[in-house]
Amino acid sequence: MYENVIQSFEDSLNDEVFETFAFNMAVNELKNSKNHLNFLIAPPGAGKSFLLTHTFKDAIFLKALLTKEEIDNNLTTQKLIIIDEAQLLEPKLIEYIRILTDTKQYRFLLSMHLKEAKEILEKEHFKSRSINIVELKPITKEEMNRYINKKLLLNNANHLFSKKEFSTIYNYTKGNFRNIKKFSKTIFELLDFATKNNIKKHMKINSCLITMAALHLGFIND
Amino acid sequence: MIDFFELEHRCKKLKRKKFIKFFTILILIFTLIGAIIYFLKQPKIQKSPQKEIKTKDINHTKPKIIPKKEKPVVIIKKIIIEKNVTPIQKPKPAPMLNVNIDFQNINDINITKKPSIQKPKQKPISIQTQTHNIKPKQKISVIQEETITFKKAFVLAKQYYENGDYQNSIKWCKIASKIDNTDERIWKLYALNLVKIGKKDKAIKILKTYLEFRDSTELKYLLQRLTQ
Repeated sequence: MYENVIQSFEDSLNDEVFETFAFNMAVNELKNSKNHLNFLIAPPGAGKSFLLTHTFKDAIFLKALLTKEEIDNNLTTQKLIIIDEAQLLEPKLIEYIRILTDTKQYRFLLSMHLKEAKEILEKEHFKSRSINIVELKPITKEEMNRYINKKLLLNNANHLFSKKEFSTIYNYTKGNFRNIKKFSKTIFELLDFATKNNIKKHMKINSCLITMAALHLGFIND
Repeated sequence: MIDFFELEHRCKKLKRKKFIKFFTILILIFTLIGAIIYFLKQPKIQKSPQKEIKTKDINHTKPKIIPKKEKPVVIIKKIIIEKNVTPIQKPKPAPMLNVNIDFQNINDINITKKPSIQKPKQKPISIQTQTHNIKPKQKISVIQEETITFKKAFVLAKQYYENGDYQNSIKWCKIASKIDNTDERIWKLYALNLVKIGKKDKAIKILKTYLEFRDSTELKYLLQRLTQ
């Protein structure tokens, strides 16, 4: 019954772009940056990869686990070179990329997790140079409401969340895109199960269903 | 795969926990408020004067002479103390008036020549009311500050006088006079003490002062003897 809704909340890079204020700000900053070395930092699941794939379609994407030779082979002065999950790069390679950008010939954009990025950027050689660091902020509660409602309406779902339920979901997910998707998906999985098994008590979205989803995903412990 | 029923059970358990927590806090808050109101409404308990005296005893090192302003308090003390008088502490029935004062001895004392008279055989009695270091042989009974009445102070003063400890006798005379300054016996004893320590002029002055306000044949006679 809720298969379509469940599927729409699957974590995928092929999703439609949902523009948020933080998303637009980050895109603008990255596009207008004149620095040769750029960093996009955010916690895991904030939508870094999604932003990069949908914004810089003509850039060269490199995998994180690469070698110096692979970087050399893909070097081009024409295009922006994007390395996703750059926190996995070896320190020597990061140093090499920094030296390359110092020549003002190549432009790099490294996407990193917030925690690891802070450790890397604390180093002396990054502190002294002019680098562009863009942080992708979590979405707001209103944006989350809009996002979920949009998904539900697109899939003709009968049940919509109340304001209180939205607040509860936001408190658990803290505006993280991936968590919002996971949470919504779990709620509709539970709802689907209740409907199929005729458990009348849980055939509508209620606080208990939300708590059950939070328990299942480990947001709370009993 | 989601285990729906297990999750439902966990959810119920969690809600129950929250409910208990909430009510426990609520009960605690009400108990606290109730306790505060109860203590605020309770009247303040006044300390009894006897207790007050006892606490003072512990704190003070010297026997306290109650100032004149607090005389009504002294009267209250007296009443309380006399209720608690033990047979040992009862004063002797014949105080100063029946003492045969040898006025000839007064004349015998060469006030100017002799220094302050101290009997060498008898050691001065060291009464320290704060520590009560009185030797058992000595007759003077330990009288705690809380049981001081005029009679007791007078008896002590008299006994000190008889033992030749005029300084302590004067001290107890002063204490007795603070309690009751109308009794002529204490004035007489005080004057005699002063004579003994060589302050005859002061003794005369004291007697004259008393006689200005009250009439006493005994003191008149003593004054006459001293002025001769």
